[in-house]
Amino acid sequence: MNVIPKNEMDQRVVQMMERMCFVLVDPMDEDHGAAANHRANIDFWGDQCRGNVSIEASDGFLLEVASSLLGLEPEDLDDSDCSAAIKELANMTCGELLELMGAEDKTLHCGLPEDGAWSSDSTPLLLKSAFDSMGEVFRIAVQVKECKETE
Amino acid sequence: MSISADKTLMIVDDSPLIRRVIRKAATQAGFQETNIREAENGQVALDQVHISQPDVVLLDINMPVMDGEQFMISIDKEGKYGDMAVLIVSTEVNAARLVRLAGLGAKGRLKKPFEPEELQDLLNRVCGDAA
Repeated sequence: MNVIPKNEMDQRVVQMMERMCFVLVDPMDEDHGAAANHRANIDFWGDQCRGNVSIEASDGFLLEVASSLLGLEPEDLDDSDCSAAIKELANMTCGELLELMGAEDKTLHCGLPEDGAWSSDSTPLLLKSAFDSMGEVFRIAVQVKECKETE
Repeated sequence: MSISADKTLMIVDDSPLIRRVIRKAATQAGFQETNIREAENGQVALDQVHISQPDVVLLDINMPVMDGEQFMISIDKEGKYGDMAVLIVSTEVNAARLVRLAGLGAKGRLKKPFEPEELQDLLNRVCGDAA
């Protein structure tokens, strides 16, 4: 498995948010206690490893993402839009992670994002990041549960 | 380049949010609202193709029930491609899988995350008429 420098993953997330969602985010202290009430989890697996990506975000962050994507005012959106936004963010974040892990030439697949889930097992985190967008928060945690070293 | 008013499009993605984003970009590219259909997975898309074949399919890969690759295999087996252009819109980056999808008939690919203008450019390239 490729080593994933945290700053590279952070940069990917910053670009992902700016590119598709038109939302500017800044990496922040991952242990910052800002509240995030929506969660999603997505598994990944391949020949050499398996793990999962957990993400969480505040209402305000998801409303900002959904409203930017759809060109609507946040007042015109509801909880189902937040739910759809966090699942798609999980999907895209997992895609970016797998690309950094070498998915172009390795077998690595994303599963389907599950709304409301947050991995609670004791597997150590491979990566943990948090982002701020005008006081709203978005967090990522990556766990690798099995990894066969090939080199 | 412009997209003629009678061109039809099917958006296949399990995310209702992404379907709305793509619908918006497609109408800005020139597709008529009434000529755009949506499907939340490959099986629903396949059922719709059996009823009426769109000119263009924007296809996600990672979906429940039937994924995008299985949809393409089914269409290929049934010989249903005809003039239908299938474009992959997905987070998928695995080179071997992308080659497999091209072999199954995919005419283009856009990686998520994408900018709406990139999707519009792709649609124009694939189904735009020279003005």
